[in-house]
Amino acid sequence: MILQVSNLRVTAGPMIRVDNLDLTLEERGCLALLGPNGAGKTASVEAIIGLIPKSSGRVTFDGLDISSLPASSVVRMGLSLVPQLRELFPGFTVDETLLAGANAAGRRKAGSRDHIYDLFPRLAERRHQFAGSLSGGEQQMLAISRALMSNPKVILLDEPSAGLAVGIVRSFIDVVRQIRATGVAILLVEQNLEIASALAENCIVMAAGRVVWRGSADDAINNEEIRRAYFA
Amino acid sequence: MSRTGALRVFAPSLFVFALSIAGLLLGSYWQYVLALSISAAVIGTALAMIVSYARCITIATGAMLAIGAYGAALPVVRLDVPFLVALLFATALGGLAGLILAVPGVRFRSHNLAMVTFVFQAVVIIVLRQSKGLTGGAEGLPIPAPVVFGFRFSSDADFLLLCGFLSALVILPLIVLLEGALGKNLRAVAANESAARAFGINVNRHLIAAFVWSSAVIACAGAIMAPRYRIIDPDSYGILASILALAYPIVGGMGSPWGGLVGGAVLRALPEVLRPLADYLELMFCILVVATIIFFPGGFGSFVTGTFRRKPAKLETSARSEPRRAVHDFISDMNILGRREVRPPQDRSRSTPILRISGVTKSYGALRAVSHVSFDVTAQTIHGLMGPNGAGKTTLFNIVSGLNASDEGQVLFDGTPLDDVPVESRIKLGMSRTFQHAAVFDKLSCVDNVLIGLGLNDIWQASVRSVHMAMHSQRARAERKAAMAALDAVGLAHRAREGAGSLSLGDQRRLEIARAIVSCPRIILLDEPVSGVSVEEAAGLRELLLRINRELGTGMVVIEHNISFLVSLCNRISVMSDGRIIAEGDPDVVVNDALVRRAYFGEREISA
Amino acid sequence: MLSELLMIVVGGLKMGAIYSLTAIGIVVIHKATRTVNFAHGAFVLCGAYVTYGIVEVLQFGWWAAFVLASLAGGLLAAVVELGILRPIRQADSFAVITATIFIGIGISDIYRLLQNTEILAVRSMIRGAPLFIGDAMITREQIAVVGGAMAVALIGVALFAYAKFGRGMRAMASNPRGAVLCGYSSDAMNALAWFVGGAMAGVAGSFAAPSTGVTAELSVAMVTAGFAAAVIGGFDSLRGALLGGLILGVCETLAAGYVSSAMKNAVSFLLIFIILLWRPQGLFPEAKIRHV
Repeated sequence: MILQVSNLRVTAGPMIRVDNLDLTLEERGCLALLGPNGAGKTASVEAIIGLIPKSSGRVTFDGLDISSLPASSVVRMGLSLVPQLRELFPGFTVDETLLAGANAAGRRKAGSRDHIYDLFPRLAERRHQFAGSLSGGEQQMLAISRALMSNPKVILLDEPSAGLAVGIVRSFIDVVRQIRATGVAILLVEQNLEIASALAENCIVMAAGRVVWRGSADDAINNEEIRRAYFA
Repeated sequence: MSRTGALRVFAPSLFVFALSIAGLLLGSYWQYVLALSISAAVIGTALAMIVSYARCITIATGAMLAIGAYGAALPVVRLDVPFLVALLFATALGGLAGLILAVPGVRFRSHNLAMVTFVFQAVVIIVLRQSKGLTGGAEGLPIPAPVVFGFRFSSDADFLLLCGFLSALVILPLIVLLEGALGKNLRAVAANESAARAFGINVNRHLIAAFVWSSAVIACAGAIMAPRYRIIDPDSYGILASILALAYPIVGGMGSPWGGLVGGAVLRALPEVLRPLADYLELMFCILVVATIIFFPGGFGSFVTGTFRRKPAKLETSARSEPRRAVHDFISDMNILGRREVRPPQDRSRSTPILRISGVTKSYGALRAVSHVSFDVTAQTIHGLMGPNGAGKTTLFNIVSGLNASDEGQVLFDGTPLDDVPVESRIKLGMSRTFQHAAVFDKLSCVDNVLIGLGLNDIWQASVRSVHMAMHSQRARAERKAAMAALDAVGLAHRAREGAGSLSLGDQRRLEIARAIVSCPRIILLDEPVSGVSVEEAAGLRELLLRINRELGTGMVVIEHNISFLVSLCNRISVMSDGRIIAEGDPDVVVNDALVRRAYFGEREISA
Repeated sequence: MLSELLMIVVGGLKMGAIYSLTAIGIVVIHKATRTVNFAHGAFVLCGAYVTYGIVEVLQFGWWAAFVLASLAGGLLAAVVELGILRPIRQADSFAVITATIFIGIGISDIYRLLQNTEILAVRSMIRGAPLFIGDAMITREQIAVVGGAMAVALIGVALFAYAKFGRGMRAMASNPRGAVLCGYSSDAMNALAWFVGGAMAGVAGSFAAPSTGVTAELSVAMVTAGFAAAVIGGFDSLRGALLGGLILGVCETLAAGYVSSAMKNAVSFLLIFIILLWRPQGLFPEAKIRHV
């Protein structure tokens, strides 16, 4: 396994956002983290990568304990996050954003911009435009590309489909499949069951900060328990 | 209670006056030092209002002192005006200067406001230095000893008494305001401007009032002290004086007026006490301030109170005082504003909408956060609003409560269009709200939080209420009773005097509800009242909201992600997605609606 | 008449170029770390004092003065950031702003304790006969300061815009979370931004020392002028700060030349006031590109 999380707990002031989360991501695998709004999915991935503090728990990446490392060091080791709000730099051009992304490669070999532009021809057309002027779908592509520039072993994708039109979601699923084909493991945070089952083998369903269901993605789609998690 | 209340208000004045009496035992030089100290205590107390309470940085203190000093000295020297009259004139002049500084200044916050005060400081000193004909310029202006009713206060002992007496007098109104409604409102503004505005606090007017009061008092202190210097010159009121004064409340403590008072008294005396180290004092002073900021962020005052004050016993989060009465009994206590007839709610006349939202649209750049949203909320019902993240629910709330303006559309409250009603006035119409992130005023006690919820927070009302609180009048008692009734209703009566920041999240949400109901509103907007609270607490909150609705007839609009909570609470639910209403109706029907399921699950035909 | 105006303008440009350097430092620090640095004048003072030491005491050349003054200013700023401001940045801007105010006063006071003289004179960088344009006399020093300070300022602007570490600082300024996800450490970037800002202040001190001398008052004077220039430029724009400094310098000498010398001191305050009230976004605001 490439990424292992055990006993993760995240609190914000008096509020418990994630309680006792365990998960394991295999090399080249894809695991979906599902759940309704406020279930603690985003807090989980942000705590895993070190963007927000953990109150307890242990995260191992590629055999190393990264629990207490800051996010800027973790990404240099090859664990990237595509955040839900994309967190782009509006005044950077597409090209420059990719160069900034390459910084996260650290001493490892950075990704090549040509490769990214092959994957996303739309971005190649707009390589000199400002990130802030792109459409929502293009911004999402750019956020993924920025993460890919560091040649990560694992990408945490936080609700990549949020706010995207149906047609774009379909092409986006193809892209994620291509990324997987290159050997990158993916932890996918999703609300959308169908996208999750189209991409992931296994899934974990969270509600109110806790894991309420684990199993294969195919079983998840018609599971009454999950439906209850969403509507309870 | 009444006695301690009076003590709170009079103690600083008594302390200052006692200090001057005690000083009579000292030698003449130390009497002079003590007079300096008392004067700095007044300045520190005045700065507590701006710096500790409103959390604004001002470096115009020196200018205000100069305005007071010259404002009193010039009439005495040039026009032979009696000292006390000149003192009053100087105080008024200081207030006017505060107004002139604050009216443009409060358009800004933090560093820009600090810059405006800096500019004011510099310009005042330049003007004083340049108007040589009037002020004597940099050579200085000699001032005679003050004469009051024929008596000449020329010795150090006489002057100390005069200084102590006048200082005690001038800080009294300041303490009344600081300990009263105005001070609480200022702290609410510093804690959370949006929440403060939603409860009727006009932020800018409060900040202007703070600058006017504090400038008047600082000018008065400058005017009292000036004759003792024998000769005054503009440069001794320069930027350095302002910055050193800024340290008084920061070092002394930001939690109460005492911080500024004691901080001023001690810090001003230090250079005289530590004469041998005079060269290093300024540096030590700076180190002291920076160390305070790093190690005791609340100043020494809060360090002292934090160490010595009896810590409230840590209660289990589930421990809760049981309301002693049924909720409709509270209403007679809470109904001090006479805003509603005291009666149990009538039949739910389902046809009359209390809130009518029609065609409301709001865009941020190219993002259309709310798009042509229309729905009605029937009086005395609970109306749910659900939808995925980013659906525009909170934006809609902010438009209804007036924090944001809509681009298009209209909100009618009981038939009145709200377009021109500023956010601060909406609470008086009978509308209140809670916030997504439990926006309690964390530095204030629970009961003070609820008192702000009464919404009697015009600057004038707040000032008058401060006096009422200080006098512990019948009206102040009624207000307090109302606040306690509201706290009792939500089960927090036993924690009334604790700081709101020390509550658990569930209790903070209860406190927000108490604050929202105490004004007996006709409708409450609740933004995610149970997000982040435990299952048990959520069940308790649901019972509470249902009871308030049933027994007070308060209408509610509730945003919540917890759908089972919403279904069991609401009479009707609207569902938003991507800025639009996609479904509306009875809770059970809405939850099973295909569109709604799609919005939540994303059951799109992606695999096709 | 025209030659008098020309001389006044050139004199203004000389101080203006120094103000520009100071203001750019303030803006770099503000952009990258969201900290308004009222201690900036103390960094200028530090640079000026080091310049005095190198040029007058040790009798080394000016090049050594520039290098060491910028290093000293930069290191001082980095120490302030790492030692004092980093731990309190979690709190609110109130604590940070008040801390910088007192740090500035404290550093000037250390200088006062070290050097208890009224004013330290520093000889000018370049000697030689002045040049004449018509009747207008322009000293070689004026040309050297304007040219030198502008060159340093432009190098600073260019580094921020195009260099690799400049990209990191801009990323941090634009979106701290995004920058962290690109492997930029916020602590390292903050310290770097303070170093760069402080170094520019140090160089400003070197350029200022011959004209103003070295005094404790230099600290407040330069932070005021730097802020005025930054406010004129919009506070978030390096190019704006550069132009703002020049405008301020020229306005000061014009006021001194045509109104009264007392007006000279009031100009920066009046400009701050007018710009804040009339055009808070500054005269040269950075084009804001928003998320869509």
